[in-house]
Amino acid sequence: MKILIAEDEPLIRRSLDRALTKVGHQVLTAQDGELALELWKQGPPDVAILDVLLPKMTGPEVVLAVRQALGSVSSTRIVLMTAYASSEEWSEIRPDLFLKKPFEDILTVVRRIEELHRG
Amino acid sequence: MNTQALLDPKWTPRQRESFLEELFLTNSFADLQVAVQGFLERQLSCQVTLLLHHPVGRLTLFESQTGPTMERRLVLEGLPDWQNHIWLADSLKRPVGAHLLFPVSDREDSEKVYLLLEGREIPTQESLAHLQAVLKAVSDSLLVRRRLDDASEQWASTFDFMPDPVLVVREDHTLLRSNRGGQDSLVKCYEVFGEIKPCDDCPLGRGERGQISTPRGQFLVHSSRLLMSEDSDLYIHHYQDRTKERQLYSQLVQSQKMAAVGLLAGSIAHELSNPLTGIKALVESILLELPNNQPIASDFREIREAAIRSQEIIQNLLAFAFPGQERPEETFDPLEVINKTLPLLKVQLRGVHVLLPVLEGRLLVKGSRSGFQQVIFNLIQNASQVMKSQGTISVEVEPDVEFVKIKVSDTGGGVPDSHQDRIFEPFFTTKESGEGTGLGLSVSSQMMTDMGGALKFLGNNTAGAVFEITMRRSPT
Repeated sequence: MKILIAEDEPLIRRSLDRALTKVGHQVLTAQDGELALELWKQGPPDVAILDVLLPKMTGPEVVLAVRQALGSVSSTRIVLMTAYASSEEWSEIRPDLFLKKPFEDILTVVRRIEELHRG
Repeated sequence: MNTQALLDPKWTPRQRESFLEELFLTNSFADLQVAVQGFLERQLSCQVTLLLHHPVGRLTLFESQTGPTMERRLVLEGLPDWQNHIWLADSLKRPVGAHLLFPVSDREDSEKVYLLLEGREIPTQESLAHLQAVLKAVSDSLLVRRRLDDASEQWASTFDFMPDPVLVVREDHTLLRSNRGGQDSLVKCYEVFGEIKPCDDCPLGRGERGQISTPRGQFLVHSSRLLMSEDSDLYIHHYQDRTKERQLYSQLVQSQKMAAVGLLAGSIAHELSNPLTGIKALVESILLELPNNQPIASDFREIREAAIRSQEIIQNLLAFAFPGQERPEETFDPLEVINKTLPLLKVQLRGVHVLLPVLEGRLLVKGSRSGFQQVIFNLIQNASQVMKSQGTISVEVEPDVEFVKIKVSDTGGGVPDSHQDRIFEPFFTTKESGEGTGLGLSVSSQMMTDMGGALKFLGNNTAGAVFEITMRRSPT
């Protein structure tokens, strides 16, 4: 499946990229919100994994912008990542999965993302 | 002293006064009285006793200047009567024969001086007339001296009564007088405070005040120059004990520092958390691609372990910096959590026996499972570190109706007495740097309190330290 990763921490971005590519997914990466939005508009991914505190545009802002531009993002599963506890601000986004940093084992993370798509 | 000169008829009253003044200044009161008494006895050929009559509060004090103090209220009327006779004998504690009580001063003061004249031939009042001027001068001087003595005694008592140390010192720090004793030998003022050289910031001769820090405490010293003698300047020093204040102040500074460190640690921890998550995740995804038998895989696993350890430190720092994190309340079996925690400490517990209790049936408690796990982790990790990988950690469980007590004891020799008060203090650690942040116990204690339980250090037994976790029990 096609997975978009938006994360400014290069090591996290790379590790997710590597692990997800390894198990056979097509991965697009962005280090900021604007690039993520750009990539998304070019073709909606099956799963978008977005850090909450991204430079230029935050993860939730990207989702809202996509919704405005495309009317709906229902085909894309949304995963939000943050070190902070979830708050009201993001509840509007209604992510399909919430990943709390620091992660558990990367394999577990990959499994949860794959389950998301299947479910 | 040549008291004879007092009788010199050429002397004016003023001369006589200044002569007496000189006498009083250069001689002790007792010496002076003896001299005056001798002078009068030679003049009058009879036994002379000087009596001082002065009020003390509401009482009137009669004082024999040559005998014991007499304390009885009595008004003397110049000439003896039988009552005075008995009173005199009683007061002087000796027989008194024929005598004359002669009022010397004609002042209106309440203080009066009498001469008690005794002898075979007692002079008549008239025969004393030629001595009147001298006697008056003597009596005035006595009274003045008396007052001076009283005043000086009052000042001395005031001085000695003051709770703060007050010292009179010479320019070379020699102590002249003190309300703390020690002025008998040649002591230096700083020696009073346990120093062997002048205190740093001593204001002597330099200023009005200084702060000194001595083995006897910290003092604010007020210094003032006393002009009492020409050859050497004297200074009076008042020492205000600031030790308690300084302690409170440094405690305040310490707690403010802690708060600042906490905030700083918190923000650094947050910043570090992200790259650390990345390091761990990236190493994990590399490991996924490497066959297990590849030698480099074990190196990557080491990196992963280090990242996990760093994350734990960061989690501790965050828990310290942002306490009271809401943790959902769960019901769980503490022994099950302990059993799941032990494998995480596999490396540290090499060579250590862990004795777990066997319970009939299930025991459930209320609180945060992850919080409890962290507390158990910290306690067992501390115990294994202190035992240096050999010894026994025993976990005992004492279920009560409402609470469950879990005791964790080790065989590591116990917590030294001097550390016992401090082990729950944040950043207090005896571990090598890098081995611990000194936050484990303070965070653990905070977490147990947050979940309605407690963590206590029970004390040392013969083998080592005993800690006790209290948790709320949940009905099974």
